[in-house]
Amino acid sequence: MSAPPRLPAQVRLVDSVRPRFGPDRGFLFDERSGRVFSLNGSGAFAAARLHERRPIAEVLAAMVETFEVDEPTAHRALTAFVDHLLREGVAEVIDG
Amino acid sequence: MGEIWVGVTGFYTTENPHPGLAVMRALRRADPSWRILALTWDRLSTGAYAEGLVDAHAFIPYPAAGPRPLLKRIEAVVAAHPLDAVIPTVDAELPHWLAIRPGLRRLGVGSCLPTMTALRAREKRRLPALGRLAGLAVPDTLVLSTAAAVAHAAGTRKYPQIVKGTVVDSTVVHTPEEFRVAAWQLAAEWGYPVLAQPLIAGEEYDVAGVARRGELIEAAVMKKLAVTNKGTAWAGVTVEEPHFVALLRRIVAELRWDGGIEAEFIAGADGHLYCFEINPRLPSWVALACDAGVNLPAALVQLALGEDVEPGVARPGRLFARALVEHTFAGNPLAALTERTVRRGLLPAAVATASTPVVGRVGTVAITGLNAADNPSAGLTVARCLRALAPAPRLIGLTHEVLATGIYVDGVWDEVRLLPFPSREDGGYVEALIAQCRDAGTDCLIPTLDIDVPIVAWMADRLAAAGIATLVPPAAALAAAAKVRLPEVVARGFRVPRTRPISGWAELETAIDEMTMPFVLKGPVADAKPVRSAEEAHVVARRLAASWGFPLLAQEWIAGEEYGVAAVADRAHRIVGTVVVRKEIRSPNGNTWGGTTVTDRTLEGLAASFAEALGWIGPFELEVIRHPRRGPFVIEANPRFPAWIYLSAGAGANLPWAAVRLARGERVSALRTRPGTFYVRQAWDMTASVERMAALSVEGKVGRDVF
Repeated sequence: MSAPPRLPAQVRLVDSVRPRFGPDRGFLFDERSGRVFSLNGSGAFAAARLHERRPIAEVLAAMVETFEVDEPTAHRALTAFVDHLLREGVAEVIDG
Repeated sequence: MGEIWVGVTGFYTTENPHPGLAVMRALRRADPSWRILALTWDRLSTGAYAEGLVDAHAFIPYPAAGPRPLLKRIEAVVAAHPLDAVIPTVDAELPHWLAIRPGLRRLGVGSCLPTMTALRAREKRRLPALGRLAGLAVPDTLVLSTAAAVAHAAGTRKYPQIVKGTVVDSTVVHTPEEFRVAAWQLAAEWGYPVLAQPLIAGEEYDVAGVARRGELIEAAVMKKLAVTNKGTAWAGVTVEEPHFVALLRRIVAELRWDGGIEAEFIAGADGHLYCFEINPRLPSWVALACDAGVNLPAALVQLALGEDVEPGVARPGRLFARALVEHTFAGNPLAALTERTVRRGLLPAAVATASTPVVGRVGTVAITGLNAADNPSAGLTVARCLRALAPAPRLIGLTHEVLATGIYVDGVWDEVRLLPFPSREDGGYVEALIAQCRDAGTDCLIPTLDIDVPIVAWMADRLAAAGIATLVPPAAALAAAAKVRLPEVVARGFRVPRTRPISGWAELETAIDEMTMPFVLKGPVADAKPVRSAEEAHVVARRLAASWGFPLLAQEWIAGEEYGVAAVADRAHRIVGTVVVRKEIRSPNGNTWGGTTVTDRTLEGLAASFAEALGWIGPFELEVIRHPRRGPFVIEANPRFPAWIYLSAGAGANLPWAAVRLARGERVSALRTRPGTFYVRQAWDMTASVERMAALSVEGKVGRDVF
């Protein structure tokens, strides 16, 4: 069995991103590239906390509590989400 | 100095709009004291009907006439009327304006235009050479000068390709057959050569600017958010991407460019930025640049008048969404314009008021179908009819997508709410529709999408139980009016073109054998295209089947004058109002962009017979072609209002309001339509902060505070 993918300790949205978060959805606009991203409820939840510069461990714990999922499930979802934000250039690692 | 008069050209403001209308908007915003002379080719130029922007009109010759007649005409204009500067905006006429520049100087008419050498160096076929000089990546471009070269290339290219006309227009093709047909169509329209490039996957960015002697002064970068099937941007947002500005700076320096310019780029999935087109004038989205802080048309005027222009770059985060907007007049206001005259004040005097006084309750009306893009739904125009009431009801727009362009039209909606797509797998559409209507206090719902009408008809009882009135046809009537079953109405006394259903590829071959060329191929729900050869029929059928599935329909081509007949039937299947429009302005894609109401008892009778024969309730539109000898043929029956329905308010027969009142169970007296009311449709770029799209996306609704 392989080890779970590693999450950076802290990630933030880059300065060119204008975010908007609601309870069920979120929206990111990158004013450098012009790309827009629509987020579902859990994506908006995680992105809002990253935007507040919360450490990843804290975001993960909040997801486990709020969405009543086990930690491996939340870890997998958060890893995929963060990886996507990093690949799209709308987030950056500030403490790897 | 007295009044400054600026001549502007390019007013075919249709699917692929000329920039003239947007240029006028920017000029008006720059300095309201500047006066604008619309130099228009003809009365088909819908942008020339922009009331509030055009101060005077004059005809100029079509580009095919060449530079000499153009100069002669400008001399005549200047003899009769002041003209201080010109901004030509159409690719095909630019060489002529360059050629007559000495004459313009002699006449005291300023301009800011490139040299002929620079103009030629950025032509599509010369782009690879320019790319090498300026250090730009350019897609591999094949120049095809003959039909034989096209036939040979079709078999050797790697697909998909994009085939382009030498001046404008392009088609994406996936097979050699599509390649040959597209090249043939483009050559027929624009002549040889045609160009072929590999289709590069990626995101598209346009950079517009104004340059003086090879120095870029102002620039705006726009990312395309939505495009038409021809690749024309229909929504976009300004971005802060200095790299694109730097690339445009290199281009204008290499060309020693003067004037407006636009470069189009693809940020390829391979990480490269490809420049695939350089246009020698300002783009049609230039109103966005103005909204984002750089007024490029105003800069051109200042440069043309010898003034200095402060450098600038557009700020990011401003959005444009192109919506089709109708204007109505009591007759064609350009009818009085001749080839020899210059006329002021033609538009204000002719505007037809759409205002309709109302006594009693107006309530709250929800409307679907807010996409007002190049093939528009009717939601926006139905709303504009209801907004014309005095007082107007509260208007709730219901949309499935945040980029439906009608959302962004100011002064129409009290609220816009987001609905799930009816087809979504987890269901919930019906519940969401009722919940949104109730939450907004709606007491009447008008569906305007073909896909919505049967759903609303099916759930009409549940809507009624929730206090939401509707006026929709019964299921049997809807089924009888469906495209595939329309030929059956022949049995009820209607004339319909000979139509053959095609349920698979084998039946397409039979249809090609049996039908006389040209004939029309239609999708089962929407879309239609005339075909003139077997090869073209194969290509069109493949496209239609890929979009809509089978059955397709092969329909006899009927030559004649085209009409639209919009009507509303009450619950006893009696017509309370009919508006008949003679279609007068058509775009190359076959869409209607202008027309005039007529009194036509035959067509009005056709609508009445249709409602009675099918047991119809609610709005509908019949599309009719009147053959000069065989009489009127019904070619289509649409189960909702047409997108041109704003004309009904301008013509004194506000059909959407009649539908609302009938839905609520009120009595409606027969409406009378004013004949001779003229309408045009313009592609108009609404601009807004990207926050409006964000708010709709996140909160699921936006209200008056953001409109």
